[in-house]
Amino acid sequence: MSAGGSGRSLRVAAALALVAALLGGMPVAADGVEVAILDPGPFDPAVGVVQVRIEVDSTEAIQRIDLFVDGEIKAQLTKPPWNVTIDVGDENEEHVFRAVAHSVAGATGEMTIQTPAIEVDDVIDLPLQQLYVTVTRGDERISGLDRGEFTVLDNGQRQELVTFEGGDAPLTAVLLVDSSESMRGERLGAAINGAEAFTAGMRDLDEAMVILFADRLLGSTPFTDDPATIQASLGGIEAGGGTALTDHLYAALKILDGRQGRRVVVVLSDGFDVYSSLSMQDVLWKTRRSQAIVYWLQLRDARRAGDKPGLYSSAWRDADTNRQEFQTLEAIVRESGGRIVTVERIDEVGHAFRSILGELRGQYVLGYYPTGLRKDGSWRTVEVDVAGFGSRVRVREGYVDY
Amino acid sequence: MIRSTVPAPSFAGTCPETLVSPARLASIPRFAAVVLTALLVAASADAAPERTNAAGEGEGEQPSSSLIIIPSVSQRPPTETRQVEAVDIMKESRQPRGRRGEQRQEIAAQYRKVLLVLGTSGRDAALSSLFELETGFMEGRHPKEVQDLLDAEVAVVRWLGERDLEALVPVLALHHDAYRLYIQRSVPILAGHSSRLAASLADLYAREGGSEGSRVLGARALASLGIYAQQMGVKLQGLGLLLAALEFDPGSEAALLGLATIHERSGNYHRAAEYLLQLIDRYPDNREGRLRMAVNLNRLGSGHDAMRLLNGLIAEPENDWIALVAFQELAGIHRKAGELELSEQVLWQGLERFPDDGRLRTQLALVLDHRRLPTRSLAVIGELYREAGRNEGPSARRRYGMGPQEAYAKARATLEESAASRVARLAQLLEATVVEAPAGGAL
Repeated sequence: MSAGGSGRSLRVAAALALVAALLGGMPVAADGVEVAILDPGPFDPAVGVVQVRIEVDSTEAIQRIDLFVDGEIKAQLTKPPWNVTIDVGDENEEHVFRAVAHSVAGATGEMTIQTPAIEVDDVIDLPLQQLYVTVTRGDERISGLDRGEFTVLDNGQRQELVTFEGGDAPLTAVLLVDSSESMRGERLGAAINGAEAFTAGMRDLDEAMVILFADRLLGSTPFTDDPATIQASLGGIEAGGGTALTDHLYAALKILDGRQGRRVVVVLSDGFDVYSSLSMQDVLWKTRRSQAIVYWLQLRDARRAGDKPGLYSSAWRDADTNRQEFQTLEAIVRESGGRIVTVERIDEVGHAFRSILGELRGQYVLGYYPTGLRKDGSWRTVEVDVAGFGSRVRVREGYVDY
Repeated sequence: MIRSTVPAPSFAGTCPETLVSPARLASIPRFAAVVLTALLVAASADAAPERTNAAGEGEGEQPSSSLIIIPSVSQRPPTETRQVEAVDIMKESRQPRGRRGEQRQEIAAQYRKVLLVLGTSGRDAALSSLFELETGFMEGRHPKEVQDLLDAEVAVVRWLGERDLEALVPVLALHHDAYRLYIQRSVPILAGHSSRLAASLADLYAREGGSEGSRVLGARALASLGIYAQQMGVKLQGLGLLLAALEFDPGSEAALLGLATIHERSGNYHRAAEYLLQLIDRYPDNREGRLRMAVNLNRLGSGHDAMRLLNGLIAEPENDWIALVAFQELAGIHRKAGELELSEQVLWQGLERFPDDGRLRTQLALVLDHRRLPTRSLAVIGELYREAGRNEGPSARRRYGMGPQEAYAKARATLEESAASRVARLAQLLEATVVEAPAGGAL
């Protein structure tokens, strides 16, 4: 008896082959019982509550599957679907998952995978505050400033800078591209080309991930410094559907929690959200606890005639709420130290992406150990001044002390 | 002109006994009674100058305990009136003289041929002929001249209707299809024309059919047109059509759901809840109605009652978009109430049933962040990108935003079946009566 169709069998076989190739033959198929652990994958860290999904291909009916984690039995499954949710504990560590399937006739098959620990750069545990500061005069960025020309006030108290760098600090960016219906056709291609241009301009140790979203996630790349990976990962995806910017912006900020150094989100969207389940207040909450800088390439030509914040409603939000959401997005960008770049036409996207990369390259990175931290969840304001007349400083407006 | 004055859902009456009697309460399912209670509580809070938090009020109470606030609800406007731009088909219009008169006869003759194609060769062929006729007529003309087209077509329809009203049902279905076609091809003048003619035919059939069946069929055709108009963003037209449908069939499932959706999209959550209350009272199995009621009750401040409905929905075995949105909404209500562990629990349950849903995963990441479990949160969100592109089709929330698709499909299906069973009558009538057809010898 087969536990799935031919497509499923192929997937199981492919998963087995992949894992065998990666882990040196860990899956064991005996007597026609083949087992594949689909989730978690061998590269996915497993922490806390984890969903485990197993597939079995067998010539005989399966009586049960035993699931072991780190040698301990965690679950016994007796009927398909072979899915279970288990708790592997809160420790961020490697785990060994082993699934053993038993057929009614006593045949067995098994598979073992080892999941890695997560590398987390968690702002909670790092007292060093890093500020990414853009200094301009008029339309020009000011470079060549010295440490002594900066004054940093944290909650009104002057801070001593312990690190000071120019714009060469490595960056990790998420390029979040609205790929809803209004981006159909060549427009999406132009947006992807813009993302490629950003990646092509990056330096050693920089990385970017491109995410295409509509009312659902349409596609994404891994973090990469290779523009070719972007086309390879996103080629063939068609724009369509509605927009759920808020949900995807939260996810983008979250995925950056796992990265080191300077973190940036660049949003390409008209900013009109229709289908998100989270609110921009949720994203603001997250932004205040993240060190990521948010830039917004505000695409204007995709708007429908008459669409203005506060003048449209949907099944999920009324006009007032939509206006507030829009304003909160503007606040998120401002508070994070990023900026809104208006893009009037889609063919300006590449230039806009490059201009942001140029700005990031020209940033000063200031580090200090804040005095008087209380770890009480309060908001601490940050102000940066630069000596000299007419200079304008853009930097995150503060952070949550927790 | 169809003028529809439909009593809006209300709890008409002045004393509790006449409003919702114990017998009536006993006859409706438990959840509907709960919802009724919640709606009444919310209505009271909404009407009060200083609104207090209505969430939780009435929780665990018997429905009767909230009936004291019904009078404040009954003070709400009792009717909702909308006009549908339609024509009285049976009223003969004056035949123009000269060139215009000849033109009308010519169009009527061509239109009659289109209907003959409908009767003999099927709807697709007829739709194509109709498109050719109507777009050809309007080419280079002022939009106002669409009235000449309408007059010519109405003359043929009147002639048919006088002989066999049933023969009009396939014609109605044809113009319904033409409406969709013109919307899809962005021909607004002719979309309006088709909608008007289809609505007029539905109105005529419902009024003059003389049976409950004809009223219901007419209502379903109007509801189908109304829901489609609403989906295309023509809200006012949709509202008028749906109210007209309700006039002919006060229990029209499609019309009630469609009206609720229109009000919801306009931010009139109270009015939406009123229609939904009527809907789930009549159709307690309507899962979409219960979901929308929950969403709107929560907006109106009755989070606890919304949660009861949502819990009911996720306890049912269906793994559809309704269940998925119910998980998302329930988790959201718990999260906003600070019940983070409950929210997390709901999200894990949801992921068991919908392992590929990115939105549940994002919500879970947020909850875990709030619980100060950033590492777990990161692991959860990592899964999201591993599964990118695994889902196909619209998300459940978009499906919610698209309005009542199933109700629309059901209403359409009724019209289709009815049209198919009457198409032979249309063909017979047209083939047998060439000589006496309207517009004189031209036909």
